[in-house]
Amino acid sequence: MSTLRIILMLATTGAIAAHAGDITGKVTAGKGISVVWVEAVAGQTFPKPDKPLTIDQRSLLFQPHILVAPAGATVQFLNSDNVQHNVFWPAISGNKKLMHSMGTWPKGQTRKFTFDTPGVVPLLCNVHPEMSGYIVVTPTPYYAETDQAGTFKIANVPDGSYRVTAWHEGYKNQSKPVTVSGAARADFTLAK
Amino acid sequence: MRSPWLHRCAVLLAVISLASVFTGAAVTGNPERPYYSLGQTHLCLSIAAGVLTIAVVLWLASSRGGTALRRLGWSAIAAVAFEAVVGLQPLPQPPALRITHAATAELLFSAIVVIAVCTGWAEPPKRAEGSSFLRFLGNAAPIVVLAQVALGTLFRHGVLGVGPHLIGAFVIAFFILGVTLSVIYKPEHSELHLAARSLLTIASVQVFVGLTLFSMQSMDVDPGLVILVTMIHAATGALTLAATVVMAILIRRHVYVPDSAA
Repeated sequence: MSTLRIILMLATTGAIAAHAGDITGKVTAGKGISVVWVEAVAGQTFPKPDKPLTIDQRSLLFQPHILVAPAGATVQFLNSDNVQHNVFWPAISGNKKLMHSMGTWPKGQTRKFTFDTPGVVPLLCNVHPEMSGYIVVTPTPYYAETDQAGTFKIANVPDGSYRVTAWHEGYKNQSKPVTVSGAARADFTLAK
Repeated sequence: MRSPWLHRCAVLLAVISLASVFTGAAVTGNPERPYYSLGQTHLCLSIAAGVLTIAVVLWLASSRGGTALRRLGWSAIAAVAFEAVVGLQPLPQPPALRITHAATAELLFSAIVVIAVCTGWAEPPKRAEGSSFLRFLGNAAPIVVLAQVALGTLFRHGVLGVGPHLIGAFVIAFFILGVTLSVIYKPEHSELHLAARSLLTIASVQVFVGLTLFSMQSMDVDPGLVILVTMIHAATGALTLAATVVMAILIRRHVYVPDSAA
């Protein structure tokens, strides 16, 4: 029985190694991090993340400034400042029908929201005009944040043909086709 | 004799400055925020206000009389220069910078309104006897309103909660009602009635807008509307401060206290 289990494990590992790879590359844009993700493929569904992600409002900043969350993820917004904060987004990826206000709440309290629609969510506070943050809701769990130099690696993407999109604050998104067959590379140069 | 065009230019300057204060509350580094484009007009309005301030003050300096007014004009130019240096710092600016910029803007607007009012005076004032308490209220009101503006600015920029600003509103109401009602119900102060009614109206609007804004925080209201009302509140705050300063000056001009006049 245990031999059979080992054989099955080896076979599974081998299958993953043979049918999945990494997408690496570089995003050239302004200062700060960019986000790169694999677009959805028709018919594919993914389980929702179990644990909620957190955005803290501290020192009049959304921290982290950019949060990446796969579709279906729940994000809890914590207010750690001594003043009340509001959280709202005027649109998701430009779709104003998806605007939403979470209301206003005091220090120490949190409010949650589940993001089912993929897109870029610009976070704002109607009290403090200088507050600004983003949630990038990706359609698949295959995503990566770049380092400050712009390099990224999306690990364990099943072999196949995809569209990969890169986003950077204040720049236009760019998508390009990528074929994963063990490994793939995609470089992006974003324009304002 | 000053040119009536100097007064007209000063009034135009006051209008542009008020628009600058209004749009200043919408300035943000995030283009997704409602009224972002209105915030972008703040720079143009501020440049126009700055250039016109310099022109009006130079015009004022070349005309006869009014040493105090000319000094106020030079102070306004210094404030314009300060505002330009602070305001042109890249976004997002640290809170101390934003608070200083906002508070100086309100003071500058008051100075401009005073110039606009004083350049419109053509005849010597008709003076009437009044109480020293009216003088005290008149002098204290701008100080109290300035403190309230500062509390509002500190709240808007996240340094303080809304509590002190709300308490300040009640203190302001006491002082403004005291000044305006002391004038409105005295026929001998008819020269001040228009200014008193204007101050009462502006302050009432400001309190109403402030309470509306406060109640909006606990309701499910369109965030864009909250931002718009915030901008209106900032502008009417500047108007309230300017109105109390003008009222104090008018009281000093038109009211004499028997003991001090002797």
